[in-house]
Amino acid sequence: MRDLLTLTPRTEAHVALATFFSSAETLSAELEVREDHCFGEGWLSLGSIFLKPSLDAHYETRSDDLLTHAVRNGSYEWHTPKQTELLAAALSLVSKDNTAGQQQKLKNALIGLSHIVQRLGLKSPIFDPSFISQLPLKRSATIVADTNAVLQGGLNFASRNLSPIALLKIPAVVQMEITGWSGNYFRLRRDGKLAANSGVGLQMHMRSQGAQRSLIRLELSMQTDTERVRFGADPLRGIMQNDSDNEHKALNLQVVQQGFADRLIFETALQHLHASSPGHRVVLMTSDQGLARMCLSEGMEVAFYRAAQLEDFSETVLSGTVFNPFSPKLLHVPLVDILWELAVAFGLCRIRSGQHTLAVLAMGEQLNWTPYHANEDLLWVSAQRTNSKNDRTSPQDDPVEPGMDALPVGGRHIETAESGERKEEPEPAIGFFAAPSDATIALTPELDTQTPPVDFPNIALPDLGNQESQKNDNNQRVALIGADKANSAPTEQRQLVPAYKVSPATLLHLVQQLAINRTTTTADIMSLFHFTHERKVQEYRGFLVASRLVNYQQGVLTATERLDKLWNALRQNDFASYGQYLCSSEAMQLLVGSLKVGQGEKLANLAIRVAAAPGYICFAEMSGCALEIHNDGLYPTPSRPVPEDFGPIAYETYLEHARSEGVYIASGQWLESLAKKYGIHPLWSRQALEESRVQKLLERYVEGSTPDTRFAKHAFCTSEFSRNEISIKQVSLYEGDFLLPGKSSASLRLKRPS
Amino acid sequence: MSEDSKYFSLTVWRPSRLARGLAQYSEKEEGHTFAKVDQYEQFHEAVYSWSAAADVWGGIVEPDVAFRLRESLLQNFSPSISPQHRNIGALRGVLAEVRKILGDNSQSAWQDLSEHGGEVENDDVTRANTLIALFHHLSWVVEVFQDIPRASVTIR
Repeated sequence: MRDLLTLTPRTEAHVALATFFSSAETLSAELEVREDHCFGEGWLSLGSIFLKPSLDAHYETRSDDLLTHAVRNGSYEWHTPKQTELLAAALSLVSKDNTAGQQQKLKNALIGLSHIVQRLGLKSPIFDPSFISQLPLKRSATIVADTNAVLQGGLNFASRNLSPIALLKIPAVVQMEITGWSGNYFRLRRDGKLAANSGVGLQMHMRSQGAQRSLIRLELSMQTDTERVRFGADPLRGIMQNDSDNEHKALNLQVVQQGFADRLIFETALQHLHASSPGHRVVLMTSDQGLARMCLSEGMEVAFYRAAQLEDFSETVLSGTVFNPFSPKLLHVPLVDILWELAVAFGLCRIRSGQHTLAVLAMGEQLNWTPYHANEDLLWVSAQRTNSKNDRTSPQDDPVEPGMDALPVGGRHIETAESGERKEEPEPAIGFFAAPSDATIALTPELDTQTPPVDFPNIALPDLGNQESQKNDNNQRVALIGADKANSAPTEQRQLVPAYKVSPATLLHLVQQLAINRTTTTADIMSLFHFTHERKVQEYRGFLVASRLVNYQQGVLTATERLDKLWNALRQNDFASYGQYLCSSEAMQLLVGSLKVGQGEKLANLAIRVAAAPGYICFAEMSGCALEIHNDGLYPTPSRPVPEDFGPIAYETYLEHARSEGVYIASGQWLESLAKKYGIHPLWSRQALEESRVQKLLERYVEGSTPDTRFAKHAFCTSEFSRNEISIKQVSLYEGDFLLPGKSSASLRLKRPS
Repeated sequence: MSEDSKYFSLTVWRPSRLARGLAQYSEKEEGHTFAKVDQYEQFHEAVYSWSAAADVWGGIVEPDVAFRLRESLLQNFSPSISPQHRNIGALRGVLAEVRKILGDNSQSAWQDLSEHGGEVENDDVTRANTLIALFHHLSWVVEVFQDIPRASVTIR
């Protein structure tokens, strides 16, 4: 099997990434990078990505559009690894020589990850308060950046938050220093010396490529006005010298004379200050204390920021949506931007979930580069799916993604292996900051004791991601039989039951079409609902066939008598009849059957796959079979007590909340308690309450009041047939119009007849 | 939560360093009074101000927890409290509280917001966990301003 590497613009990669998550059927993925010379064939894990797409108001399942929206608009969390684990993993990849010097070099290189985070805007650099207190700028000013400001994200911060009122200027010596880094890196790469000098090689790669990308993106960005400042040829002539570091002498590296370079940067700023009109501020941005002091002593304004540390990246949860520090708005960092930055900094980056992998490549022996790539921000993208049933391996166990090993010699095509023994990855710790594994203890105490200053030490992985990533993702639509389905049963003991990911609104619309037209085809369904992938039709077809609502033969779906009965029930809003048609499939019976009255089940622990669950829950709620209580769980509601039985239960539940007769309680609270404790669905409670009142078993008093918006999400799905259209509606339990339609009944009081 | 309760505004203050005398007009005394040099420290100037359009508490699942945290912030960082009791360091306590909430998956969540920050019903949706965003922003504020002597914070 050969997968094509596709040159993809960053702006068009959102769809590929959304497709990756859609295909993977999980919203979590591992993020990994590889430097082909320094890491050999191993991959370094940089933590996990958890996508957080929206669920629409009608409880529809996650569509590809919503996934694309999430990818594009920064709806994700990036859980980064602990520093010690990161260093240990990197060390195991680059060298057998576990010396303190090697560790320090690696640490110096991996600080580049903090730089990437700041360049992307996931975190802001820690600036000097005197600079921040003058922001946002009220008059135009010029910011002259030094090399570190380009590398560490200071320049990106200014571009993002201060442009266009701030003009950004890059001294020629900055370009020269970065080009020097790049030259050094490629010289070592060409000479085959990177593997033997992995620490310094990785640092050169990350620094040179990251900083060059930063400059190029700013230059080509329409929003940023950057300017190169020339400072004559003569002073620059002797600025490069051989690296005097004893360990590097043999590598023949060229570095700038630091003091000279700092002075030239300063002179550039000074020259610009002299050329500017009076009152125009010129600020030199640096994280170099020496240069900052020089500026202060010579009367130049300085925007100093603290040099980023690896601790800034360690063991934290980064969000793709961040607050703008100078306005009330939110900033979004597309997920693709992370992949692009990492790919450029390391050469290769991939995101992996189960058997699905999306790799982004910026460098490889056979990969060419032209300025056109930079103009369009093109990188090589490959989406793959392996056929192995054991889908998860640790980086150590599976250092080479099938196909990636062939990349350096494979040109634009990469090979994928079809088989290979892999070990199951150990079950992830529930706490994100669990104790390091044995493999990570090899570090020195000095590295081990370093802790992040202000981060989340106790954040656990989201349930969804955790549960999902542990499931066997063999690309079948599976449901798991057993009480503790998701966690306990070994894979081979689980019985597989098909569960289909459908949007309830779309499915009911399809039922309506079939009731009217009797037959339909895949092409018709794709056209009607604007589906772009046939697999979506397969989901709907699967649900209908499993519920015996259609017969499927030779590409044609034909409505059955059951579908006609369902359609009649829907038209009459006869919820009591829905269940026998919508809840008859094996997966639905499994879902509802595995629930226990009085015991809520979390979405991630349900007996069917998580992606399909929202649709099934909606149909179960519509049919009165179950009720999902917000932030609590899914409860079964099989009870249908007659008024004589309902009266005492209803009154007792009321008293539990009211404490004494005569007190009004929230009607939603009462309804939810009946569902939780006695398994009575609100639809039935409403009906039974009315019957009890008519039979004088209970007296019911209601009161209108402003709905408590804290409970806005306490709602359930129901259908509504109106104006010849079927639709899904959310019924809020606390808003007060449910118990008595047309009358406000947010609060309820019950009384036994005297 | 009402619209008012979603509003979040933070200001960082430092003792003012006035170079010249300050006059304050007072109608009661029908004239000008001049602040003395040793009174300058009772004046504080804002060095950083920020407000959020989005509901920063929306990321907290339990409304009661959000309400309690907000009330605690408003009380502890009220302008009526002496600046030394609402210093930058006190924000670390807030961060610890937020961190605790974020540490429990069931207590924070992503939500749909409109472009202008509020919750919406249409398709034009921004999705955010504003509590994580707030945590990082407050961390940044602490890191940036912690070295200003006698800096203080007010939250509205």
